[in-house]
Amino acid sequence: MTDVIEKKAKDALDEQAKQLSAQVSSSLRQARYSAIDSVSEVEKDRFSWGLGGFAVTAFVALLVLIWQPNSPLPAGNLLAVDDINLVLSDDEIELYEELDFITWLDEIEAAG
Amino acid sequence: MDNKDELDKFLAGVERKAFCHAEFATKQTEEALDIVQETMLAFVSKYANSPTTQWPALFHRILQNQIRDWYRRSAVRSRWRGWFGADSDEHQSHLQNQPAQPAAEPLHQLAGENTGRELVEAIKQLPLRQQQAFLLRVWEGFTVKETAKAMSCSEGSVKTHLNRANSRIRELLGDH
Repeated sequence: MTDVIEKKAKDALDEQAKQLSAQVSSSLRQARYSAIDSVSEVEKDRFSWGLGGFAVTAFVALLVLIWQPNSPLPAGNLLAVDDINLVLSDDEIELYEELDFITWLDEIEAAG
Repeated sequence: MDNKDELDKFLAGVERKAFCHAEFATKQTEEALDIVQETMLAFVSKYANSPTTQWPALFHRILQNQIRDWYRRSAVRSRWRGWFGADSDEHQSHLQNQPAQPAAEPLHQLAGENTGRELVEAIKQLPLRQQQAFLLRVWEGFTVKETAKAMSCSEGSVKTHLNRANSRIRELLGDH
């Protein structure tokens, strides 16, 4: 019974939708055109926002690049640079190995 | 834009049914036209770039929300005018049960046979939520899940509304 009613209702509703007045049909068409025309505006807005966002991001990136060389390197990086210098300079390696002894000798001389 | 033609085709295909949804609910041609126009604008601005397979469900979700908003605004206006004294706690219940048309006249008194016109009149007399469930399931052919999404309610509620709608239509047609 429900299926029969639903089938009849569907047909009746389809018929109802077909029989809309010319005025309503015209208004619906105008509403559709307005909505589709608004797509261009929406796209233009999105493009403007995208362009603005890109400009801001580029400006921030530029600021970071400008300021980065002036900022001090972290201590860990400095130690790493010192180690590399030690390894590369073969002639001074013995001096560095005896640095503690030389320092102690210097302190004794200063005290005496 | 590439999908303007697709949008035009889609909206042209749904606009008449959408108007009927809105007019059945509001009983006012101008209000129904406004609802459809707002729905089209909101749909195009938010979902023009969504996959086309999702368009029907998204469109009807906006449409049903617009219709519900219209009911809420009407209820507020009516409250201010003192037409009925429902307070805010009773509003949801009002929305569920509000007939989409003033008091129903038994349709079987109009004619002995269930004609298409009688059926449409019976659908117009359903409470809003039953009417929405019936139109989306029976006319639009949405699944229970899609209908629930469009109506922003649970699938169980959709089944309940549809069941009540069918019973009410049979009652109005004098079939039991």
